Amino acid sequence: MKHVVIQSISSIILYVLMAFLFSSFLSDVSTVIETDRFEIEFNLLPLLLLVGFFIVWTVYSFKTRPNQNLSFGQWSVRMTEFSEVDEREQIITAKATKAAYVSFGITVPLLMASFMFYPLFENALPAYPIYALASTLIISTLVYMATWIRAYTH
Amino acid sequence: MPLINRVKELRARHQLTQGDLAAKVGVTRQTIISLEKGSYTPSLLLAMQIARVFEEPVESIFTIEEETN
Repeated sequence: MKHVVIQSISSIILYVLMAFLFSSFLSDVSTVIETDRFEIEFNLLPLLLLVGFFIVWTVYSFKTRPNQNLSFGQWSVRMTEFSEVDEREQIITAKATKAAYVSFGITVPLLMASFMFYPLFENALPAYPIYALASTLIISTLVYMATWIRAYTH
Repeated sequence: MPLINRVKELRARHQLTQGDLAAKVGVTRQTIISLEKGSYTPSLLLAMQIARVFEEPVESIFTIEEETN
């Protein structure tokens, strides 16, 4: 259970950092377009934070992977939140994945509806679409984690 | 129809810890805990592996609660 909690929280941090990076790039590109000057200045802080966290997370996740028989190549194409050491964990993972899928079906239409009002706050929050997409991933990861914990401790 | 089992009783008789039994049948200790509490119904394969460890027929370890009434 500890593995799923750590990996889910790590994934959420990763999504937040990605959203921060892309929104920062969007802001930098917008500045270039608005000023009409061929000078590009990028804020490197979000990129450094993301790369630094990604390296630490990759090393830790690979060393603590539930199935130690998996090679790096096999492990790297799987979602790290998945823990299927035995048949019971496979059932729990299936339940949690189903709950996360259902959460997509609820959050995505709500966010689509929120885009109708985007022109009203576009100037105040230009990176809203990036954060909206990140929030769908964050919400579904939280649902996955909560369902997994609930089923595991039942 | 819940499934009831004698895993806890047989494990004590064979002087096995939950961890020992889990290692013998290839599952986590938490799965054995859930199984003993009755909150998890094992697959046929796991039930047969447990029966093999205790050297008893599956039906003497796992029974449908209705049958015992």
